[in-house]
Amino acid sequence: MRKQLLYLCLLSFSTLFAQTEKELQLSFSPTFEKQSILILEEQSSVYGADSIQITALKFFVSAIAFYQKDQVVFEEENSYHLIDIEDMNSLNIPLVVPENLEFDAVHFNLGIDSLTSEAGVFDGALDPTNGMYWTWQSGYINFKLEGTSPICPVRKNAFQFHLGGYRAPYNLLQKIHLNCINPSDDIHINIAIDQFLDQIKLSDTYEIMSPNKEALTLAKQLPTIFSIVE
Amino acid sequence: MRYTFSYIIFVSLLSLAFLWKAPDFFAYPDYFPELQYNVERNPITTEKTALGRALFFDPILSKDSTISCASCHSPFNAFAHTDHDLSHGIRDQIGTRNAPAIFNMAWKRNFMRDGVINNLDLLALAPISDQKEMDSDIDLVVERLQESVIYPSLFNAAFGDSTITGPNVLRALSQFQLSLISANSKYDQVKRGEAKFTDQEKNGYALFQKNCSSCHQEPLFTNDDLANNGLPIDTTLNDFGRWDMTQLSEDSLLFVVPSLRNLSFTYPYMHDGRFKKIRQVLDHYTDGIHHSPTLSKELKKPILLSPNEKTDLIAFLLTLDDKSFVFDQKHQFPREILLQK
Ligand code: HEC
Ligand code: HEC
Repeated sequence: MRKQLLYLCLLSFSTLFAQTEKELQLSFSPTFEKQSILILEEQSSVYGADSIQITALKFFVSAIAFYQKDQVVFEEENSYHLIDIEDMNSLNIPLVVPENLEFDAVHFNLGIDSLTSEAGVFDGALDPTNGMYWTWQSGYINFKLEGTSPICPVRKNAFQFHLGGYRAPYNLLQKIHLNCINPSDDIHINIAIDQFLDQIKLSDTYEIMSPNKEALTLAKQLPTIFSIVE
Repeated sequence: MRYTFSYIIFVSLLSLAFLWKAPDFFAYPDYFPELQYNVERNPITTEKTALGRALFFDPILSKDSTISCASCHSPFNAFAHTDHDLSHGIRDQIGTRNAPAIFNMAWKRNFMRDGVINNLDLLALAPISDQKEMDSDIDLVVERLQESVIYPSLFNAAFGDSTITGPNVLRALSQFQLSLISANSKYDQVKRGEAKFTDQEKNGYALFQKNCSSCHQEPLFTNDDLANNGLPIDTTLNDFGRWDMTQLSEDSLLFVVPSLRNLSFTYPYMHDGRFKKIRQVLDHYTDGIHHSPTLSKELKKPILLSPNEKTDLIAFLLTLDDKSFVFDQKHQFPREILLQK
């Protein structure tokens, strides 16, 4: 009898708890030299000295967590999101967090962890048939950037960077940890695509499509292009 | 009252453990090891398996509707392919590897000759999209299945939804392949006390255990690991196995250890189908080992087998043939479904 009472208490406690939650948005804005990138009908405007056009930008955000003084204070459950620049809705991740949550940093993984990569087929964001999973070897593409530039010496001047894979030594997953100085309700994250492309000489390197040394070196640059817009 | 409560919790936990009961066609002997495939994520059912069987035999999966999975993985070859050493795909294109047999897939983690695929569910994406195999893509497959007369109702029966999705196509294909269990060879019957080895087979078994079983581990006859078994490189193919994926020198010439069940049906042997006869394979292990830095330590010392011992070893290997598996009606072309189209 006493036990049942306890359960009742727990139950009412949890509904109490539920009432004190709020929604918070984590939003991403891809930019090129501070100009925001928009893709309409598979084409963007022309950017930068190399006349770059972006035709696709997709990446996985997983394991979103908030930190306060280096301690985890909130972790999103089942946290897997596919961000696709062509799908405006996907650029905003709504999170339900405790009303009184205080945090000084946000953390997420860019890509999919090895356990999930080996678990088999999923629906939703992790659906392996949505173009973010390699077909000829196992592994998610963590970050996909495609576009054109007249300096790429190939057919249609296209560049394609598919960075992903989870197997050592080429585990390309990147942990991104961003300090929030004035955590307001929503968190806006800028992705400086120009800074990523600055690392690459497009006239030499225009195609990386598998997990290898070159891909790993490039992936390691990715955390530096994410920053909080205060 | 307190006890009733904990009793209820206990019973409900217990029933949870038994919630998933495998259908009869997914039965396997108790001396088989733990499953590697997570059946809880994709519980085996008759309907999903039947759907998977139809998909496996249906050329609708290839771009020009000429090639099915069974074109390269034939039931009468224990789902390998014997007409060609290298696989033969769409528009008569020749691949670079010999199609492996498909059985006992529920106990594998390393798929393909070099283990590039980590889960059976995701494997089908490779042949469906390979330009030399089926040259299609999963979106096109889903679209065609949705438009067909038979598939929406089969998907509805299997998944409770007649809207076809890529993940459900993959789940169904896995189910049929998981149902291909080979566990009724003479070896299995001996193991279960239903038959006895001849003296020659017994002698061959001892030779096998001494020389081969570290890699071709019982009872599946593979440890599902990668190894370099000393094959010299074929310079017309330059297939370095696992190295092709990782580019790590320690991975050079590593291939997944295949099962030795059903060898009478799965020739030619090895990743490139270089040997047609079991005796040639044995000659390789005794006289043909090519020494390279990644050669497995078991094969560094020569394997010594007299011609008679080779004959005995072959006699044992033939006890691994499982005719009841190879000729099982449940694994053949599903006429009742595919001929009604
Ligand atoms: C054109 C011939 C061809 C077709 C069509 C084909 N396969 Fe294969 N299959 C192969 C070859 C060759 C390999 C080995 C590839 C490698 O190691 O790189 C293979 C490997 C496999 C394996 C791995 C077995 C193991 O032990 O690792 C499975 C499972 C498989 N195929 C299932 C399928 C399914 C399901 C389909 C249909 C969707 C299919 N195959 C269509 C030729 C084919
Ligand atoms: C060091 C591990 C190792 C040992 C020991 C070993 N093998 Fe193998 N075996 C392999 C590997 C790896 C392959 C696959 C090579 C390939 O695909 O190119 C293989 C392939 C085979 C095949 C071809 C099967 C097929 O379907 O293609 C046969 C038959 C075979 N081995 C028999 C034997 C016998 C008999 C012995 C003992 C005399 C033996 N092996 C010892 C690792 C081993």
